[in-house]
Amino acid sequence: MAGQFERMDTENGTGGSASPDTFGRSDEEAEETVTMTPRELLTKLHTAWMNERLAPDLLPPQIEEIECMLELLRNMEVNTAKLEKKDIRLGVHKMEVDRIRYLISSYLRIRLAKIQEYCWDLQTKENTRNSQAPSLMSPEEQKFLKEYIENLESHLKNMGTQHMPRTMQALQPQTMSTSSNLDSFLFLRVSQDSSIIVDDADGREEEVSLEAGSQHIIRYRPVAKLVPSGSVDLV
Amino acid sequence: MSGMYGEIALELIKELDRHKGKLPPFQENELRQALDEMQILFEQNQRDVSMNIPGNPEFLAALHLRHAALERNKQCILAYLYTRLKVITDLRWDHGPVIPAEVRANMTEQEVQFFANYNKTLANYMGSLGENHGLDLTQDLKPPKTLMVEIRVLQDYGEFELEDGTSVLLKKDSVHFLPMSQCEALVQQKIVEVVQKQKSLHQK
Repeated sequence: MAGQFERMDTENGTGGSASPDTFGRSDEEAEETVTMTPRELLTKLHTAWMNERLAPDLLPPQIEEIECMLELLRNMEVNTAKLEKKDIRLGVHKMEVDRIRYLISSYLRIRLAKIQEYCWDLQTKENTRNSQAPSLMSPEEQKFLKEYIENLESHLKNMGTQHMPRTMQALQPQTMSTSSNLDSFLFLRVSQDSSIIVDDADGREEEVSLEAGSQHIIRYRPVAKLVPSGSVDLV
Repeated sequence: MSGMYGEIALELIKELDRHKGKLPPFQENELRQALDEMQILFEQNQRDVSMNIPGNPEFLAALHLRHAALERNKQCILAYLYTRLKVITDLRWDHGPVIPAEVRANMTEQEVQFFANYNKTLANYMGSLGENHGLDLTQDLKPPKTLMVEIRVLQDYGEFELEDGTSVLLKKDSVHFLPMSQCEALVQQKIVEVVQKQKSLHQK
């Protein structure tokens, strides 16, 4: 599904942007982010982007990181504007800015694509969410979802249900709603020792420990909770 | 109306299947017929219910059959409408905010309205990013591999100003070497095309 938005090759085309060398120069620009250097921030975003791209469901938003990186990008653009046109650093910087912007745009696009695809399911989750639990969407994404569903439903009503016999006029989203396939298989790399409960074919439950550094092919469902926590990364 | 219940609604679904990911002309007639069929089925059921002697199994079977047909028609009609809308949202990403005329001709007024609303929703969202500085997500669709790209102009465009203040004259069939990030929108609108670097056949 994400394919509709992501016209990209399957290999990690921006892999280079995670390499810290090309970004190292702007360390001084980010002193206000006390806890994280731009390098760490970029690595974090890169992981978030990979996870979001590979996970079948919507992951918790990394909205602060995105906002922070966008601000860095604006600073970088201001700085590069000061450089002379012939300066060799200009091209390198511009390329880096383009790459990071791609990373962020792609990340947010994948999320929008998921929000659209699973709109009713996400709306239900949002409405039944415990008020203390964090939302799966940023406030802006929630607004997007709300407007999208309104638009969608009003169209379906005007063109369809409104012209149906009166007992059939209710629009029942649950009959059209799709939700993520949590049983799809994925590759993952373990970054922190963890353990999961896996159902085997006979319906028995089995605890499997995941060692840091190991790689697995596994069904998404048992590890779904580990992905947002950063214990495992999808690859 | 002829044939079995639900046949026309099925036609709508088949039509979707034949044109996966594309937007063929809106089947207004078929949609109307499927809706009319629902109305007729509904009235027959109403009549039967009012005349029905409770517990008569013959009536009951007919009632159930018609009700199933009603539900099926509803599902097919909604699937038809919904799937078209999904294609329409993709248009925004593939072609930008203006629908190409040939696609526009296949859309209903309401679908155009849906597109406009979607456009607005998306624009609101994109504008809110980066502390309201905005980020155009419909750009940077491909991972950047090169900084500059060679493009050929497909239609006269006139002056095109680059970020650094210089401007180039985009004249039909002229070829330019421009920053990749700035000509993506032009490519989407089919004003320019990227010149593919083709390796010569004789090259080893």
